[in-house]
Order: sequence, then C-alpha cells, then structure tokens
Amino acid sequence: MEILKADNIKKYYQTGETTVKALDGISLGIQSGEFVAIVGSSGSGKSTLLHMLGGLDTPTDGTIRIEDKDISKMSADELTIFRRRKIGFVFQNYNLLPFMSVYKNIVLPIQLDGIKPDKKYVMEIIETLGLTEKCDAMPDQLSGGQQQRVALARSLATKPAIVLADEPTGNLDSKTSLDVLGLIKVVSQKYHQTVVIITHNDEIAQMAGRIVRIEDGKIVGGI
Amino acid sequence: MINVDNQHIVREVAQKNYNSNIKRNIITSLAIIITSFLIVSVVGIGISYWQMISERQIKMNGMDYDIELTEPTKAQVYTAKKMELIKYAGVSVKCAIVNKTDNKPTSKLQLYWIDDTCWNKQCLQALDKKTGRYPKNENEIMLSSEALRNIGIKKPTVGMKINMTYFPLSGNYYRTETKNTSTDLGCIDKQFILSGYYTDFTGSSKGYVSKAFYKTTGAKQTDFTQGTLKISLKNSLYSKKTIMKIQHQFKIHHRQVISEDSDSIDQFVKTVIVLVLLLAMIFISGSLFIFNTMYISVSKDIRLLGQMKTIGMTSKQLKEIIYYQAVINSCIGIPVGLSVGYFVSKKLIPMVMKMENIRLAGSDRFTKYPLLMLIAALFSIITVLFSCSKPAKMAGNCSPIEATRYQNGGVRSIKETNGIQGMAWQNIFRDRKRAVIIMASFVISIIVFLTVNVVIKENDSKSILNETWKYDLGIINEKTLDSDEQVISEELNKKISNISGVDQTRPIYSAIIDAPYQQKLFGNYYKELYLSRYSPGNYKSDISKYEKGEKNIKKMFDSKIIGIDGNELKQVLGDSGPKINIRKFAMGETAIMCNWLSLSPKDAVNKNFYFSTDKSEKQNKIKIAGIIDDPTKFASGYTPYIVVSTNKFKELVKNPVIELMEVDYKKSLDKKTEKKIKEALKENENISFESKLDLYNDMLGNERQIRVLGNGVGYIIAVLAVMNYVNMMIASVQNRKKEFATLESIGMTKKQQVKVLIKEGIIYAALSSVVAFALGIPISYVVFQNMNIYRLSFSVPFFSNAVLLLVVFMICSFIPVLVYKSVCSGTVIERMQSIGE
Ligand SMILES: Nc1ncnc2c1ncn2[C@@H]1O[C@H](COP(=O)(O)OP(=O)(O)OP(=O)(O)O)[C@@H](O)[C@H]1O
Ligand SMILES: [Mg+2]
Repeated sequence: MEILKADNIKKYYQTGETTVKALDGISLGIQSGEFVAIVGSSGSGKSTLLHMLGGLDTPTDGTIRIEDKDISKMSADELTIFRRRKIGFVFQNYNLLPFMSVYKNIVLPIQLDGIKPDKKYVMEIIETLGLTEKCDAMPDQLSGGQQQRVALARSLATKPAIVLADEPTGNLDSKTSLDVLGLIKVVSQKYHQTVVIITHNDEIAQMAGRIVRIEDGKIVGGI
Repeated sequence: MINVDNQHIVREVAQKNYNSNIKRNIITSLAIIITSFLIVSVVGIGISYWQMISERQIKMNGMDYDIELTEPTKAQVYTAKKMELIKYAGVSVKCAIVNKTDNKPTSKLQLYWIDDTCWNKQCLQALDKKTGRYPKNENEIMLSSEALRNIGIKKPTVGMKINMTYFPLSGNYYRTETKNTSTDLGCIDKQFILSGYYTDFTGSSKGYVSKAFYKTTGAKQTDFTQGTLKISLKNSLYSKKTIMKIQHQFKIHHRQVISEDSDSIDQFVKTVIVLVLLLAMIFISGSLFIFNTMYISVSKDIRLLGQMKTIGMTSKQLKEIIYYQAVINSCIGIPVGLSVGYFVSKKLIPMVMKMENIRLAGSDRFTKYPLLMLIAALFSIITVLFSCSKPAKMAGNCSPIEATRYQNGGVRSIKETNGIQGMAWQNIFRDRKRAVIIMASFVISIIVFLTVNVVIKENDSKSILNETWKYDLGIINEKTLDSDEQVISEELNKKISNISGVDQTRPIYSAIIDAPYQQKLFGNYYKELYLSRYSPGNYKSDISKYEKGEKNIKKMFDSKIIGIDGNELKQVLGDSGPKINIRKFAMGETAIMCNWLSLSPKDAVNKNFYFSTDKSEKQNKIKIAGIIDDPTKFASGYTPYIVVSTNKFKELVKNPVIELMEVDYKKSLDKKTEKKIKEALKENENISFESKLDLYNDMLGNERQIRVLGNGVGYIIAVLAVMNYVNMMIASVQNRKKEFATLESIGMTKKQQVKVLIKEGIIYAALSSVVAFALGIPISYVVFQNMNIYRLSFSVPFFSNAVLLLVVFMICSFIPVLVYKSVCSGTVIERMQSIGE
C-alpha cells in the first residue's frame, strides 16, 4: 500500500531578483513499511523535501497525499493532529524544548494527544538510545549527540506511521550511529513502520531498503 | 596597541540588530511612551484635580480663613492687622435678620456686614459665581443663591427692588433670636436694591449689606455672637503654640474665644503622606513597566549577543549594542509619551470640559508642565538605563558558550506535570524573577487604580452631600413659633409620601413646654451654662428666681418637646448614637434628651425629666434613655429639649404641629420627585425648603470639572494597568514565537497553544488580581481614612472594580489569541527558522 505520495512538488524561494528552486518537480511514492534513505549534496533540497512530506511547509506547487489524504487540503490544526499521531520528525537542529526535561520532551507529543504514555515502551527507547541517565536533565545540559538522540526518541515515542528523520545520526560516532539505525530498523519492522531518513553516511544509506538521490531539487537517482 | 576604529561596525551591528528586532523594540518604545505619558498626564491632571477639590472645600466653608476671634474690639482688630503671624484679618458682623419678603415669611436670612479685607481677601475666592458688587449704598443688598431661592426670586437682576422686613440686631441677642424676631415688634420695612448675588457651596441663606446700613442697625462688632474677626495666617499650618501666642497678644476677655481647626496640621501631614504614597506607586508602576519590557527584550537578545561574542565582539561592544537600542527606543518613546501626555492633560481634558459645557474659569490650574515633563523624561531615561544595565552586564560578563546556551530563566528542572495541563503554570514560572516583576507592575497599577478610585469617590460631591445631609428635602414650618396652625398637615404628609419617587417622609412634631427647676437632673448643666460664654446673667439670683417659679425667668428656661417616628429615631441614633431600648421609646416609657453645651449622659440617663405641656399645671415625668443632637430648626429656652415617640407626643400635646418634615427620595438627588413635591406645596406660603438638590445644583459646574479631572486620572491609570498587561502578553507571545512553532511541529495544535496561552493569561490575571485586591483594599482604606475630612464611611467601589476585573479577564482571553494569530502565521518551518524577533 502506498502510504505517501508526492506529485510533482516544487518549492521556490524568491529572494529579491533571484529565485532559488529548492525543489523543482519531485514525484515520489513511499510504500507502507518501507525504509527509505534520501541522499544528496549540501543544499540540494533534502531538508526542504522532508519538511514538505511532514506537512511542516507548503509546496509552491504539487500535491502530497498521506494515507490517501491530500495534506494541502487539511486545516493547520488537522495537519498538526495528523502529524502528532502519524509522523515522527527528527530535525537537523533537534528543536528540543529548552524548558522541559529530557523525559518530558520525549513524552510531550503523546501527552498532547491526551493519552498516558506507554511508559514501558518509552523507557525501552530511552534505554536503547542510552539516555536513561539523562532523563531529568535539561536539553541545554546535553551534548549535541545526546540532544539528537532525545529528538529521535521523541519521534519514536508516539509509534508513528512514518518517521521522517533529518540526519538523525549526524552528530554520533559511527558505532552509535549504527546502533541507532539498528534500533530504527527493528522498530520499523516490529511495528511495520515507514521510515524516511536523510543521511550523508553511505553505510547507513546501504541499510535502507531504498535510496533516493537528490541534486538541485530534482530526483536524480534511486529506485 | 593600535586603536582600530570599529565604532562604525558596532553601530552597524546595533542598527541591524535593532531592525531585525523591530517588533520587540516597538513594544519597548510603547512601554516608554506609556510611562512618560502616565507621569505627565496623571501628575498634571492630578494636581489640577487636587486644586479643584481644595477650592471646593473653601467654597463649602463660604470663606477662606484659618482662625476666628469672636467679638473683636477695635484695638484687637488693630493688633491683628499689625501682627507678624497674620496675613489678613477681616471683620464680619451679623447685623440684621430678615423675617419677611414682600410680606411673606422668610426664614433664617441673616444680613452681614463685612469689611474690605474680609470681602476681598477672604470671601471672593470662596464664591463659585458672583454677579454685581458688594453693597455700597445704604439700601443696597447682596444675596446668596440660597437666599434668593428662599425668597422666591428665580431670575435675579442687579438693580431689582426687593421689599423686606428686617429686625435689626442691636444690643445683646442670642439663642432665643428667632423668638424675638417672630413678633413684628421692632421690625422695619425697607426697600432694598439688589447690588449683586453670588453662589457658594455653604447652602446658607445669607445677605451682605453696606457699612452705611450696618451703622443704622445699631449692631456692633463686639456684640455677643454677632461680630467675628476672620484671620488668615501667613502659615496656614499652625500649631497650638501659634494660637497661644496670638491669644496672648489679643488679651482676650472671658467671653471671647478663638476658634481653630486644631487638627489642620495633622490632616495636612496625612494628606501629604497619602499623596506621596500614591505618587510613589505611580512612579514605581511606570518604572516596573519599562523594566519588565526591557528585561524581557534584552534577555532575549543575550543568546544572539553571545554568538557575536564567539565571533570576536568584546563585552564593551556588546553593552554598546544593548544601550544603543535602549537609547533609540527612549528617543522615540519619551518625546511621544510626553507630547501625548501634554496633549491629553492640556488639550483633551479642557476640550471634554468644553463639550460638557463646563465653565472653564480657572481650569488652567496646573501650569508647570515644562518642569513636569522634564521630570518625567529624566525618570524614563533613568529607568530605561537602569533596566538594561543588568542584562547588559549579563551579556558582557557571561562566557560566549554560556550565552549561546542562555535561555530565559536558565536551567530549572520542573516537576512532572500532566502534559499541557501544567504547561501554563510552568510557562509563567519558567523565569521566576520575570514573573515577579510582571506581577508586581500589574499589581501596583491595579492598587493605584483602586486607591485613586476611592479618593475620587471620597471627593465626589454627591457622596459628601449624601453623607452630610440627613435628608433630600427638609420642609420647614415657618409658623412654628408663632401659632398652632397646621402648616404641614397630616394630609399634606400623606400626599407627599404618596408621590412616586418619595422613599419616606419623617414628620417631626414640636411644642414648647414648661420645665420646673430640676436640680438633680440639670444642676451641673446650669452651673456650666452660667460659666460659659452663653451665660444669661447672674447664676445665684436667676436660679433662685427660677426655683421660686418667677414667670419671666421661668419662661427663659422653657424647654421643647419633640415627637419623632421610628424612621427618624433610626436617623438620629445612627451607628454611633446611644444604644437605647427602641421598644420602650416607642411605647412612650422613655425619652431622649437633646444635647446642649456638655450635658453628659452620666448626669441625665435613667433620670426622670419633669415637664408640663399646653401651659397646664399637670406635671408629667419621663425617663431619659440617652442624649442626641437636636434634630429641629427652631429654638426654645435654656432647658435642654426632650424627644419622644410620635404617639407619646400626640398623647401629651393637644394640638400636635409638625415643625419639620424630612423627605427621602428613592433615588438621592432625584429632580423629578423634588419638582413634584415643590409643585404640591406651591400654594403654601408658610413653609420653606432645605434642599440637598438645590445645593448640589449650585455645585454642579464645579462638580463636573472635578469629575472630568478625577475620571481622567482614573481612566488613564486603568488604561495603564490594562496596557501593561497587553504589552506583557504581546512580549510574551512574540518572544516565544519559535517555541510555538516547535511545539506545533511535534503535534501541539494551535488550538491547544491558544488554550495554554489563555490559561496562562488567566492565571496571571487571577494571581495578580488576588494580590492586588488583598493589598489594594486595605491600602485604599488607609488612604481613605487619612483624607476623610467629611467623615464618610468607607465602601469599596464595587462597580468600577468589577469593570476593571472584567476588562482584565476579557483581555486575558482575548489579547493572547489576537497576538498569537498575528505572530504565528506562515508555515511551521518558516517560523522555526526565523531568527530573533
Ligand atoms: N527560507 C529559505 N529562503 C531561501 N532559500 C532557502 C530557504 N530555505 C532553504 N533555502 C535554500 O534551498 C536549498 C535547499 O536547502 P535544504 O536545507 O533543503 O538543503 P539540504 O539538502 O538539506 O542541505 P544540507 O545537507 O546542508 O542540510 C538551499 O539552496 C537553501 O539555500
Ligand atoms: Mg538539511
């Protein structure tokens, strides 16, 4: 089943005289349970694409359907609720809430849905990501890699349908990177979860079921 | 070391930083504008208001002087004029009483002669309106508006002729005055020419006459109770010692007294303390307002500034950037605030007055605006500089890494809370210091509002009149002393009480009674009477004649019986009156004695009073339950009067006559009702009125000015309290724009965010309101009591407080949503990536 379908999406930024074509006609379908890696050089438009897929940004042109729903037709709040339940997002710069402890950051999206977090599951993730000790710490007391792991834990905690991760291991050493990826893969298989990650790491890209290559806002390779 | 010219680059960074934070800087400038505006307008208008109040107080006194010497001799007047401590000394002599105008009875119209000093220096400023001039010719007269009303002249014109019958007050004359004038014996008919008329706020029926006329009456300034020397002191804050000194120089004889307001200095000190307190609160709330906004704004910058530090900016340069912004904001904020303040207090308020058709006489009271504006500007600058000194120091001192990690409030672990439930609380107390400052400035502005409101209410003419007047309309039987005629009949009473708008009528009956000599009850009192300045003559001989029942003397010691109903009883007892058994009084078992001199309850209560009514020989006795002030208008003899229930009165007196009827309206100062009553009594020539409404109408022009000024101050402070809050909410939402985007990215809907914001707002409002009211009501009570010259009872102005609360809570749920909607537009990513703001 095709869980996500992007059709000819474009994102143009107009800065003064020049137009930056961050995305220039991308069509992409992702099957349920798939593990996709997006690669490409810096500035090629990977993050922009991921934001579009997660409904965080609106394309200049083109449509995105998730679970057969056109997300451009959703209201802001519908989209937010949809995101909360279906999508786990890991940002390139983490975007943790500075005034909440690590644990609170992780369970916040669940609580926002008015649900009690599945503590056992959350602790399992926290443990796998090596954050047990840091549960009560505040984000600005953590290293870059630790913050990244918190962001990852947060994205997984809601058991979303799709995880969209922007370089989730960019700040981790290679061993930890592989561990984390292993976790993502296990989780994705166990819960039949769709995962899309952006990475510069070839080894990680190879773990994915499919690799999509982007250059200058266009898909230039991959299946 | 080479001194590189990097000044321009710092300036450029500062300029860029300013522009990129333009919204935040607008908020800061707004805070500065509001504070400067607040100081200029509140102080400016406040001072004008205060001057108006003081003037009204003088007008309510009818004359402006500090102390008074009774029956001054020529020598004493001469001494006074030369005395170092004395500014002015003016003579006033009561010289005649008018008892008929155009052959209709006229009550209590007393004619005075006052000298030039008294008129020019003590009287003129106490008049609200004046037409014509002081009488010069022997047949000229000047009348107060109350007097004109009393004699039925609705449209007075200077030069009009008025036929009056007056009784010249030559020789000694006191207490039984009305009795003497009631007979036509010695009365003189005269045609006066109205040389002028005036309005003051005394509500007294008074006329001024020329020196020539005064001479014809035979009254002298040394005549007992008639002549007084009004003295204005150079320093109107006098002490007992000053008075003693003056008294000594006057060499006053035993019947003379100097009357003084002994607690005037106390009152002055109290008032000054209160005003200083209010002013301090206004300044503090203004400075906290600026401080709060600046603090939020600059703290927000610290992260960015820290980053600049990592790329090589020095602490000094960072501070310069912070101060640069502050100075720009001040340069915009202060002039704008000052101009708006000046405009509002100097132009808008007079304009409002003009629109309300208020006479502008003397409305240009406060003139020292340049000085005030200078003070306000200095104050704002100092506050601004002080407000950014701490953040600047912080930015300058902290290491670059700390700075990049700096978050408002820094690290503080928060207890496990239930998701968004606790979020609002958490947000508020994320930075405790900030929360305290915001709350403090909010709380203080509410307290100022509460207090100012109470002061305004306390000085409202209506409250003063309602407190100082026992009734809306007093209907007086002018024939009381002359005949047993039923001028105010029972039917009339019924007719008036049936007029819609009349709440109740309280008829007060009276009759003169004989009282035999009663040593046990009045022994001390008579002794005191003969020792006092009111002494009727020789104690021994008079009392022995009285004991023997000699007719003339016995008549001198006549008493009076007064009959009142249950409502009147409640009125005369009040809250502070004697506690008596109401049932026994109503049954006619007990009576209440009227106070005269220092008749003490110890002497009278529980003793029997003997008297006989209707000139009969039959002696009655009644037990005295307490002592009150005389509620009636006309005087009898020296023996204190007795008050009984209406039923008892009717049992004792064959032909009960109503001396005075007090009328209360359902709505105080109700014009329609008063008109109806006066209409109903039009035909009745033998009555006169004492109307609260008439006096209020006299005061109306002045009252409107006071109200515009007072409300002006009140509204401005309310607006500040509200603006303070709005600004805080804007700043708070603005500063968390990025955070909101992040929350949205992980699934917090806008609805949920708005909910949290509203909750936050309501918590703020509730907490600060609770604190503000808990502190504000006691503070306003203290302020009220310290300024309470009319002895009003304190009440919380519920209505305006409720309005304020309502506005505050409405804004709490309204403004955050509005700000949020305007700030949080655009896609999540756009907002997350926005820098600064
Ligand atoms: N708000 C914006 N305004 C203008 N141009 C933008 C904006 N956001 C992104 N771009 C441009 O769009 C292009 C794609 O950016 P994007 O962040 O998607 O790159 P990326 O592939 O994620 O790079 P990296 O691997 O370095 O993270 C870049 O050229 C960037 O400069
Ligand atoms: Mg990127």
